[in-house]
Amino acid sequence: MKKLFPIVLSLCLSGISALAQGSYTPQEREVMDSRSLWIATDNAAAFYFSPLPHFGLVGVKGSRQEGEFRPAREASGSTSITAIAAGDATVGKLFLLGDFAFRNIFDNGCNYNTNQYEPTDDMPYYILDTNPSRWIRQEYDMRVRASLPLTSVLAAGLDVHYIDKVGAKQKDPRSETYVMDIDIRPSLAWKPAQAHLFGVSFLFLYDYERAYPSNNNYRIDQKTVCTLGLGEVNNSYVGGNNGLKEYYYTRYLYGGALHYAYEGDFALRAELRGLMGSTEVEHKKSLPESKGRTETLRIDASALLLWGEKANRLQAKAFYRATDGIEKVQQLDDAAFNQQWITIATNHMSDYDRMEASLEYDHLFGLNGLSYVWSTGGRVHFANESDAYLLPASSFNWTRLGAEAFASRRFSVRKSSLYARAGIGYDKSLNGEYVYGGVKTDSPAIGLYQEDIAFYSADCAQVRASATWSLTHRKTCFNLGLEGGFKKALSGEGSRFSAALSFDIFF
Amino acid sequence: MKKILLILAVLATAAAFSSCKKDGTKTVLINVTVDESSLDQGLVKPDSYKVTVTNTATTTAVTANTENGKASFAELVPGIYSVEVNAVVVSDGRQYVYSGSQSSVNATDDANVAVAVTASKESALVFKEIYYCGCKIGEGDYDTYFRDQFWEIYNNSTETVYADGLCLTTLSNNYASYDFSTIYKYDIAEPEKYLFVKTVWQIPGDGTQYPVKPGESIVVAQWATDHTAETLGKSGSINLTGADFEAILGQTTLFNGVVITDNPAINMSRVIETGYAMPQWLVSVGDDAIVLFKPSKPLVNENFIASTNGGFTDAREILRSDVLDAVQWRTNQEDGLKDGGLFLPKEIDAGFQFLGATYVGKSLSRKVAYTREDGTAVYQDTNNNTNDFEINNKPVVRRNGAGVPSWNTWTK
Repeated sequence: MKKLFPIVLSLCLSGISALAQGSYTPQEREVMDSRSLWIATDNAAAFYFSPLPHFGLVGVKGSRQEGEFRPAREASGSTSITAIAAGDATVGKLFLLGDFAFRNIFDNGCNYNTNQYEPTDDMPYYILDTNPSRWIRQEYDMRVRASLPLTSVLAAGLDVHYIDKVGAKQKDPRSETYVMDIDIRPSLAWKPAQAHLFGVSFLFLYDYERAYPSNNNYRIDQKTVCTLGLGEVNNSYVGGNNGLKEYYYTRYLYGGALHYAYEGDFALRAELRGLMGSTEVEHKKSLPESKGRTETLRIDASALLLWGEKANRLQAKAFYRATDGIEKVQQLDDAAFNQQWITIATNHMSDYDRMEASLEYDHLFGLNGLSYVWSTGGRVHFANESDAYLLPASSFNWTRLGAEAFASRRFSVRKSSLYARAGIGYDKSLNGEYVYGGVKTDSPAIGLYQEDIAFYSADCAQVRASATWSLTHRKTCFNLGLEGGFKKALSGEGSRFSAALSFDIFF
Repeated sequence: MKKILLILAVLATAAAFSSCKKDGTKTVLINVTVDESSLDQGLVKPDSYKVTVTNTATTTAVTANTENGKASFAELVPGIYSVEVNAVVVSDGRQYVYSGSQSSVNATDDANVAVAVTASKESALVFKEIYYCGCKIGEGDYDTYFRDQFWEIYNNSTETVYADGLCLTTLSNNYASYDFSTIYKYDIAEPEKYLFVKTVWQIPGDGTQYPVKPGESIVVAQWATDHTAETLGKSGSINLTGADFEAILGQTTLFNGVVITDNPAINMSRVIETGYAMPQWLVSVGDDAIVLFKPSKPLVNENFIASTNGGFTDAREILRSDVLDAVQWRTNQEDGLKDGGLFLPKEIDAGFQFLGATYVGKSLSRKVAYTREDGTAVYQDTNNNTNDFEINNKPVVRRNGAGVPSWNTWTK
């Protein structure tokens, strides 16, 4: 995998080295992306039939988030510095689109997580401690998409996404965790007629995480728990010869998607994707012991409709994810020279189901090519989480409905332009409840779910604003951006603000 | 319209997949049967056992009581379990603890487990504090006082026991010669089953008159008066007017003019006396053993047994198996360490205490092993006086807040 890095990086940066056809302002970039039928899909092959304008981009962004209105395992405060590079190029008949990002993330006030780089709601098997700590993370994120015509009506594509992550918890019990993620999506696009396109893509994802917990102060063992889901835990500790050692998360996902697009008086693109796979959680490779397995099924559907010379855009998205938590009953066979944990039963113990749907519309006023004068739009979204631990019965359920309105305007200032955007939103909690049915009422994991349900049960309002000043000089556009956001709980307490400063160059 | 229908169809497909869910995990049933086949036939069997099954991976435990020797546990998560069976029966002042266990029970499917139980006999009643050595009432060698001896007996169990019929006795008179050069032997079949005693004092009652609840104690005094009086033991002694029982037959005037008063404490009965009868019960201030027992057969105050190798008194035999508790002491440690230097057989108690002197006003009290959630103390009882007792500079009646039985209406 390490050899792949320079290859992918060079492909990603080929867009930079290739001679761009012209620079674009951030507003024009936004139109390019929002009006592209294929940039947000799995079908790289279709780029041959709907090519993007050539561009190149390098930039750096610093951001800060702070506030207590957040899920329990999210950092109380987070600072990140990101360097990005992106671009596309045509090499012969081959179209290439790539991007690279390096992120350095400094988190503080992280709780309820000892060993996972990025906790997710549907991974119940990890180590939990209640010592709020800082985390330092780094990510190398590379993606390249390629499209190659096979015939005049058939194209092949490949989408490869590679991420390398490393993180370190800064307080005992501390962990160093390494993550490697590779996602490969080959695709085909067939355009039998001028207006219609049919596509298919396949997905293979391999994700590997290794986390090693330890104590800097080796004299004091640190109490932890091994979580099973929704507050159920097994007591454990980190330290000494018999404390917890390394955890391994190995995930395989397989799937595919079907695509259809129509381009005539209006443009329509539909995508239906299905994924399934599993994640194995193992403890200590020297005597591997299963800590659990999750099995996931995910269905995504989206549709994009553009009309009125693409001035109008309507996008609908929905996904459904069902994850099962499987626990294994194991016995230690301590035969001399052949010690091993033997699985004698597997039990489906927990479910983590989520459904989300959203509908978004925007209209561009004064659209001329990729530029417009001002825009307005709105978005509604719905989300539902329904989790259950089967024995003893515990549940974690919430439902939210939200709406957002936004508007943007471009102002010309001599050779430069100012692009301003603002939005307000309101989220309403329709229900939220956590019930722990077990007997370990002093489990520290219960606090995690209680904080989470307080977050997901709170109504909130948010405002966002951004301003980007762009100066174009000799086909190069320099952009200085400032963003800010504030979210406040309306029922309950807490707020969270975010701010970001960015500088990038389009060419 | 077509566009909206297409979007709705996609969402409906997603919803349809949500119904294709795996069923939840199966549950298992564990049936536990208590196997009493290894218990002695004469033992009192519990009506019910408490059975606990514990998932060894999650440490989650479920408890149930047996009916007709069986307990069932339904809807358990498949796994490896440990099974424990326990019961406690209190009978005739004794506590019988029944226990059995089975580990690594594979319950990945329904399982039937038989757990064999064994029984151990423990005494619900234990000596909690004994004060035997007397005290000094002046500077002279003979300025000593010994009438303030007392024996506090505590209910160490979780069940109410009855003090009716309990007996106290000592062993020094019939154990060995004064220098322990001759250990007396008695003409009786299987002498290793018995202890041989001179005097036995018994608590009266019809069997239900004197209940002692868990955490309560009864105090048996030689003489239940206030011995701190200037005419008696003075300030170095102790007030025993709160004692429950006293080992006297009634008010008596001694040859030296001392009047042994009959106090509110209940008079015990001297049911065995093989030799010269004293008006009150005097126990050795230096070397002796006190024994608490519940006779399994009536005690006969005649036809005593004589030693075959010396001794000045006949003896009454009491079954070692009737002994509930016993404490022994020697004045000097080295005497107790000699071969034959202790009065009690090792199976009754393996240790002893020593004060190093007599008339020092010190007492022995049993150590607290732990305290129950209700605040009652559980005292250590390993059948080893050396480990189980500690020495106090002054005796205290009902130390550590031991309870007073409800029928004792004269204790302030």
